[in-house]
Amino acid sequence: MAECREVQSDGALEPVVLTVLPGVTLMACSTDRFKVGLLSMTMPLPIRREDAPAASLLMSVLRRGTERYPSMELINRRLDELYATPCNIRNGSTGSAQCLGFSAELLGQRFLLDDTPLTEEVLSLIMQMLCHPLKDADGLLNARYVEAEKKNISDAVRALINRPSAYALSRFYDIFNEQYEHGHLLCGSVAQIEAVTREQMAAVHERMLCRAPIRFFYIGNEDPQVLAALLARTLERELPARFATGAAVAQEDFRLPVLKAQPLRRVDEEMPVGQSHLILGYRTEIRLGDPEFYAMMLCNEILGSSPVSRLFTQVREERSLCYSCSSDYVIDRGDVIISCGIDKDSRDEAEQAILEQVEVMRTGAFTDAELEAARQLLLATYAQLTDSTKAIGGFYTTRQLLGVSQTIEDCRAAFAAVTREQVIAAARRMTPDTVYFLRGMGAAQGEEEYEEE
Amino acid sequence: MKKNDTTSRILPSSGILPEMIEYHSHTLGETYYRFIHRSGMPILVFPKKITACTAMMVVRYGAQDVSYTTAQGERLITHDTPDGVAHFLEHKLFGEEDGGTVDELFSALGVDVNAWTDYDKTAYFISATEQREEAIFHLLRFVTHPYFTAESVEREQGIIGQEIRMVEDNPWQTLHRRTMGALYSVHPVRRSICGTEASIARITEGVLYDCYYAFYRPENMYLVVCGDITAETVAEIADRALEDWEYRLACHPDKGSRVYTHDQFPPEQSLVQGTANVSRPIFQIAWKDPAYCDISNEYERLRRELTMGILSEILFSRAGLLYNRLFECGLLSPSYSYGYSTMPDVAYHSISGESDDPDAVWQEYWRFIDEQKRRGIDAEDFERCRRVLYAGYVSEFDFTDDIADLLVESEGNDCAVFPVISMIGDITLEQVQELLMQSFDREYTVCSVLRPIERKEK
Repeated sequence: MAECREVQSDGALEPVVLTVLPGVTLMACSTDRFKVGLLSMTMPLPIRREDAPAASLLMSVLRRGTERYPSMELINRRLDELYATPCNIRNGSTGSAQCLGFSAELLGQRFLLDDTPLTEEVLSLIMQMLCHPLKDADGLLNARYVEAEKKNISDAVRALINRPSAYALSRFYDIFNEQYEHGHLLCGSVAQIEAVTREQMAAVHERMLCRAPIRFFYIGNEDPQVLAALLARTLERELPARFATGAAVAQEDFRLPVLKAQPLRRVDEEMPVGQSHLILGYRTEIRLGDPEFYAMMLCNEILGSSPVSRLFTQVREERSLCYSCSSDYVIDRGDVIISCGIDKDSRDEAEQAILEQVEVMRTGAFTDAELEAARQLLLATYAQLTDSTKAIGGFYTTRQLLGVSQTIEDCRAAFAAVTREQVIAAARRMTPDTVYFLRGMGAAQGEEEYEEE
Repeated sequence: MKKNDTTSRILPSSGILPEMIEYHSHTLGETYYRFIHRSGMPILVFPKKITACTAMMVVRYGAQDVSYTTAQGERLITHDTPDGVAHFLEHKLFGEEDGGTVDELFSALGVDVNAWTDYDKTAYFISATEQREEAIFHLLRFVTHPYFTAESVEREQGIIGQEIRMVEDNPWQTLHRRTMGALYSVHPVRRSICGTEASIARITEGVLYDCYYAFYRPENMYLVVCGDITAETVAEIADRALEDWEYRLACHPDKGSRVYTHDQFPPEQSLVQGTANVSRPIFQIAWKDPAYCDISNEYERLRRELTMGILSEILFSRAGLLYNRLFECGLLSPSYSYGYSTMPDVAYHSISGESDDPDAVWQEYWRFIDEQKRRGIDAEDFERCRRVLYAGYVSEFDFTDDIADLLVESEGNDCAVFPVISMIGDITLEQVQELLMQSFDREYTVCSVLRPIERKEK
């Protein structure tokens, strides 16, 4: 039976955390504010580069067919019957975790046209996919689906070149995080995907089912206690071995160690596209949960996160060098990534202009108006998180994985208190590590040909 | 699905509020109001207790309006402008007379501001949490106060030039443009919204002012607001922000009129091919729907869109037969999309995806369509897909951005937003069946393909 471990107020949609079973928690916001609720299930495993492709492939294969719904067509038709519930696999990274699982958006019970117990039915379908995937006679995952998904994932990796900015970012991360397990495409390279065996996938599946912590997040109008009881019943039925033996849960804390900058690396590559892409990567050693986190958020906001940021106003508006120029603070790793799409001949001018803006942050030459505008935008952004089930879910599940206890209101209060000196101090922690340039060698589209049938 | 889900009633004018219509949906438990501001601009207010307040100011002027007319006495004068003016205007309205941008004004309030340009309309929008009244005031002010100089226009040409390159580097956008180029031989929808580097080089501040004053006029615009705010408050803000609008427009009496393009002929080519920087071929199969453009009643158009929505779900969704047939035999990757798009004088249905063998997809597409027309629609599929449409519609009413988008679309089509639930409930299997028999004919279908560039072995 579910036991209440921690209860917080509901006024600002702050979740309660319930222990469902050993190693299984439910974080829930009970509210009738939304017409569509959210139920997600996350099973984090430590990222290991040799296993990440197998884990990625596993998740895609689980979505292909189950014992009761042996094809994707039948799974999708069942979801359509369940009020077109979007139900997606989860395969992302937070800190040192590869977060595997499922998420589903559930139409509120009051909008259903019949008495379908929607949450229960969707949970049952998720359990079909997780615990009863279609297998061959040898007890391993269906070989045809494994081969088909290998092709799909390999094709998706190859198709990165269709989006030059995404391709540039992916190449940048490969170089930037070369020495780390995390920070790469989880599915790996085409060669790594093709090398995955069904036995490897079975081992990851086993680890996921038996050892990974199970973190549910729910937002909607169901009673959290009732939902926790449903989850407990379902898991005890579906994973009897895990809960009968009381096997120890694997790693619970997925906070990364501090990532330090390497001596500056510069890498130039080429591609037959019209626009070039310049990406600068900095290490700050300030991560979510560190006291300087809020100042770093403000620093990034002033530098390059909004239409009034220095990168937007100085590099785009003043010098007309690009359409987009922005910075991104990767909060679980403590990295700041600056990227822009430019003409290949503007590379030096653009880099110089970007470096000047970073220097403005370090020397404190930004204005009070810039600081206050950034603060107001951040406060508004965090206030608006409470309008979205996915944003609320993302905020709290990230923090739970990283062992950070923080509410949306805590963040807003902290942003309000950050001083100019703290922003400057945070900016001075930005140490350059990698500069990547993808040189566009000219648009590649060929001539049009017309044919009549 | 309730048969009579919507009620509407006229509320008499009261205080500063003119007469307005109240729309209520029993299923959704939501209400909104529509009234005509004294400037002549329609205003729609959707009160909702939620943190963000979204306001969108929309002008019925977009990338398709490259030619427009003004009246001189009884004579109509046609004006031809370079491609990309509507989008250029969208960028330039963010400039202020003092050389700054409106971004500074809004960010000081903690307000997000942005804009988009489509073929038939341009929208400017804000999302505010606290100082929402001030934000709406400034939105109305900046959209109605243009300021362009030769120098700022020249600077913008560099920025938009990079945007054009970014768009051109996106093979999916290139593919879509080629599809539209094959489907429509004269309609401006065949050209890029941003224009080309050559066309934007011909845009001057004079062109911008002419187009601005031709279209940015109260009767050709509307305001949509969704958030924790009342219709009365919005009316009061509009009174203050727009008090000198009529006076300023008096110096610019030439109203622009849209030139509708009749382009409902069968496409000249059925297959368009090219190469691009793609890893494997990408394709789009599009069917042009000339019958939609012949419907004059706006609610009949809406009914056709919804009927087509159900039909499209049945035929092309990821739970449907075609997708799964192609997917299971490896002819289609998971990156796949389908949908029906309409504009005042344009309507088409398309599916897009990646495939090693687009020719085989094209053949399978026709085999499937012929088979469906022979077999007819299955009643279970019909009910399932009608439910999909219903659930999708209800789920649009959680976020202010989504609600504002719905109101912008429905007002753009001169329809109310709530009748959709009843209309979905009213659509019959026979109507979907009839539409299937009228649709997806070879004569009006094109397939556009982009294949990888063949690289020479070193």
